[in-house]
Amino acid sequence: MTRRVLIAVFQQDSDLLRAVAAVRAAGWKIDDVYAPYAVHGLDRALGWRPSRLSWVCAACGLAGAAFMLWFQQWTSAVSWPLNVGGKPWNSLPAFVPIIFEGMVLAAGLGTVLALFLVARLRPGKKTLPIVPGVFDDRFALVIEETDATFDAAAVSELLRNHHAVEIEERVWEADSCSTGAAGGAAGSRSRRRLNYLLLLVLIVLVAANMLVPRNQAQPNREFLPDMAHSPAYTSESANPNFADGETLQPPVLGTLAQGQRRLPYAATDADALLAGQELHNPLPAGQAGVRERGAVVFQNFCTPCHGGGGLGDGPVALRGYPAPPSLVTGNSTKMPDGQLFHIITYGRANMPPQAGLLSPEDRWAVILHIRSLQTPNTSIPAGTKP
Amino acid sequence: MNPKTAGRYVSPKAVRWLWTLAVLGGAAFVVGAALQPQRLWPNLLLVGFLSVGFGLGGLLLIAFHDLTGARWSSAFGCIREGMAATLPWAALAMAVILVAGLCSYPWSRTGALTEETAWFKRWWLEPGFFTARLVAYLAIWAVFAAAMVRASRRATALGGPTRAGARLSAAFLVVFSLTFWLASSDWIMSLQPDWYSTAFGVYNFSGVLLAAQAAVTLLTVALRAAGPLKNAVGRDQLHDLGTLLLSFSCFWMYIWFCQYMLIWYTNMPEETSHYASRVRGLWAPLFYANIVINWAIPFAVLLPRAAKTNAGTLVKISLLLLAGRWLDVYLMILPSINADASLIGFCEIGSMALAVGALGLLFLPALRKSLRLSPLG
Repeated sequence: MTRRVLIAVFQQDSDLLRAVAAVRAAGWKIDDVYAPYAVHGLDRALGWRPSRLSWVCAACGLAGAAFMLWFQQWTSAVSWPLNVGGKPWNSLPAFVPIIFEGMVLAAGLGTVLALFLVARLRPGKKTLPIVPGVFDDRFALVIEETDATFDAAAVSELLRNHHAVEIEERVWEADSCSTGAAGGAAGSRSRRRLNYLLLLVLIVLVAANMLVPRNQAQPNREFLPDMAHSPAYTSESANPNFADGETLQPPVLGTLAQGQRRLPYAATDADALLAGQELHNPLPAGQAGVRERGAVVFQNFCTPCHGGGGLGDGPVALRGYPAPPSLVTGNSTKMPDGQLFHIITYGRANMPPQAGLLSPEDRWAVILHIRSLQTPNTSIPAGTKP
Repeated sequence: MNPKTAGRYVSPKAVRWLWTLAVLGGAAFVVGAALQPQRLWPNLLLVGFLSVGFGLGGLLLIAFHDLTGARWSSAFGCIREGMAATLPWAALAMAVILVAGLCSYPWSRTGALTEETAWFKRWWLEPGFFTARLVAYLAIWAVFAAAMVRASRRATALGGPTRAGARLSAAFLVVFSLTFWLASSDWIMSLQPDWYSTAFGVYNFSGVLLAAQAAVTLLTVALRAAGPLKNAVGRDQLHDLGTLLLSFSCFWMYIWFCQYMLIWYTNMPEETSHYASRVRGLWAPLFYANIVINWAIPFAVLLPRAAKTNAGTLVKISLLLLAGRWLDVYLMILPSINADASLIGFCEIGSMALAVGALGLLFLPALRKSLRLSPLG
């Protein structure tokens, strides 16, 4: 099926606007208008309803913002909680810049993609300008020659009165609406020549790069060396600013980690007895996984001195360090859970405090494991050496 | 335009109304100052800064118009010129307020600056140097205002932008960005001399720009209804005004957040002190209202296209944003001086009414002159 159209070319946007109004008033059907830029008021003159792209833009923006909000909350508060500057994990002000950027990115890309979809455009699609110059300084008005009553002479007369500089009738195949006459051939040839030239340049550069000998022993040149070699002190480097000359300083006395509870005890035997009366193991002995966790903690942190069975025969003790008392016989079996917790937390005699290494839950879990070592009829979880 | 018809659009009724507002406001201000003398000078500083900002906003919009080669906003050049023409008088008033209130700045008391970096502040805030600087800023702005208003009127009469006007505008933007940054730091930030923020100048710039755009929008709609701009301002111009209002509101929020987030994140005591006194107690509701008024409501309302082309909506949002600018500066000044009183009383309302009346009475003759010189009719 073929269509006959009449194409008028204008040099001023104001002429185009007036011609559109006149053509519509006369009742002829406008197929489309081509302009190098968005002409103010053209969509109203054409009687088109306002573009719905702004709704796409708003929806994409909201979706982008919502996704970024969720994503940051999930990464920083759920999946991998990380303490940054002592802020709560879920810190909205810190998320705002990314939410903003995510919104802008989603809105921008979404709008462009929607435009491409609606206009059936894609990168690399071959189109020719409907008339030469329509991308620069000319405006094309396409009128459809609908039926036999269409009087090309009358239309041309009207358009010439509105300063149309060219008027042309054309026959379109049904599927080549916006394809114009030849005229882009010269342009595409020069473009192809430019592409070949750029390919040649690329080949020469790669070849030159391979030909230049490279000394593997020599480090590459550093741009912005501050990025690789930070002027800041690292935690292990010497530091003249502190009295003890080290960068890594112990936390201020009384500092608590997030989520940590202060225990109202001192590191003395008397307070250990007190803790034995006051503290009780919050972990239920029968709960799945708790005793397994205790076994893992015992294996990793206690066996070096206490030995796998808690007899005080760990490799450290066998190599001359004062051996700890047995955990499975004597005094240890009579100590309540709270006293063991105090000893693990604050240390005792030659045992260093473990508070910095083990979370309170792990300390209670390892006590459960010690209890199961003390009562041999309790089965020891598989996979741990007795 | 015929000189005889030009005056008709600026009716004597408006002049009478402005006089009444100014006189009643002045009276309320006197009563308020008698009741609470400690609120006298802060409120004068507040309205002085806002009035200077009104004129500077007019100059900024003239400069933007000249430099972008815009045509859409040519029709209401008379409004920008009228706003800018108030600047020399506002600058004079501001100079008097600042010189009279020099002893009200905390740094004027000896021993107020104790921290390590105080040597610079002591030198920078030396009263003689401070006075010399403020006179310089205000004089430079007044000269620019006179020259740019004349150039803008000439361009309107000639029917297009002139090269000399564009050069003047470019020079103004450079000079303005430096002087306004320093002036807002000098006059407002130094009320809390231990606190500093390098974003303070651009934060105030965004506020001035937003308020100026709100004022232009409000006056454009008013003059469109009253007559002179009836045929010159159409739906597309209203749409552009609304779009700019929306974008300047977002710009203000962006800069507000830039300043807030860096201070919140770094969490340094000397920086957080500014916000610490504002997010607590009676200031807290005003602190959050500031964001709602200046951004949340305008953003939500102005987002649809229909709202941006609706004159009634634009008027309401412009009034809201002008009130928001007042609240913004109020929150910069008052908590730094009267840390425990957030009340809005005779002083606040009276001083603002006085300023609006006075600015209106300065604006109208300048507007009339611009209309007389323009080819509009």
